[in-house]
Amino acid sequence: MRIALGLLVALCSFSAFGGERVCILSIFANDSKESAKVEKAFRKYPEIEVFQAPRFEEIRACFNGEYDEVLWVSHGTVTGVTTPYFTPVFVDGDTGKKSLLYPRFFEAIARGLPERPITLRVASCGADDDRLQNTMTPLFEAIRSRGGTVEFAPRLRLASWLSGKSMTNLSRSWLQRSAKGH
Amino acid sequence: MLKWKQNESFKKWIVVGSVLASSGFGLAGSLVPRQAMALDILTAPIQVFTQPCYNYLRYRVANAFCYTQKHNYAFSHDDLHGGFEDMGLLVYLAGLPFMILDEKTNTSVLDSEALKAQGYTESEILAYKSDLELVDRESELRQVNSEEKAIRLLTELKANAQLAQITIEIMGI
Repeated sequence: MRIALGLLVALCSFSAFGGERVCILSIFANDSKESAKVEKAFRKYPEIEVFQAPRFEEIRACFNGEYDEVLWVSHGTVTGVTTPYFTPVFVDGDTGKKSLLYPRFFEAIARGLPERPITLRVASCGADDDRLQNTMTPLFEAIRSRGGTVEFAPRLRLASWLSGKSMTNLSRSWLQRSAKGH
Repeated sequence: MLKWKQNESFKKWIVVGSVLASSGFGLAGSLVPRQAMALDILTAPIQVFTQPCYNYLRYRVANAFCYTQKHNYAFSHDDLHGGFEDMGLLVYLAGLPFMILDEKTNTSVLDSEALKAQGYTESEILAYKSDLELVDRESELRQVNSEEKAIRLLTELKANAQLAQITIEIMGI
């Protein structure tokens, strides 16, 4: 009886804290339609932390071991003069200035990852395209090497086929899968 | 009755003609970077006097004009092997119901603060800046005015170990 009660209390406290700790990185300009969509998707889950137009430190902090799952949502692009590569686009929340995220940033995050497995879910154009290098690759590899998982938002088949590169949609249902345990 | 039939047939031809014309305009629209061309025409007087577009490697960063070149550069670099060329309009239509997470590279800026925040050291950033100046000087010296010449120049500089690792990494050489 005591054991059953203990299990019940543990289960209740697990539910009260919302199960897994999730960090949402919504890397879009403030007041953009993309940030509004992310906000709307997690409005009912106050226990999930949503960082709108996060600063570099806030992005790093999401990977420091405090969270079990990180959801990365941003625009992506192809750049490079002779060797093209994919990279997510960073938006400065104060100035709205857009800049690209280069390998060094993700290498540093990868080095600071916790030893336990975490889940990274990514919605960004090109993140799942293996044909070119991707500046996020060091992070993906580090997560997988620690037993974690990396999941990509499904690409839009027709648009990807026509354009010749991976085109990803920002879907509310896919976003909300990060709230499934809450 | 005959007149009515003739009238109906005429109407059909009008419909077919309109459909063909609109398809033609649509296809033509997808082949021509209209906005870029229009902006170039508008700024033509300034371009004639200041000639800001003659240096291929410089216009991306320094010049507010050269719209056609910018469009072509962005398009050629955003389009990977395996896709269909000049499908801008169709891709746009296919993606219309969705919120696509795609961004054109030329909307982004490169500033040293952002590089520093990403973990690059000051000496690396300085090396990158001096490399940009080197590329600028060399491209002026060699009259680089096409993509092929620009690629040749950058490949040569890399092969001669004249570029820092950060430059190779960021510029994707």
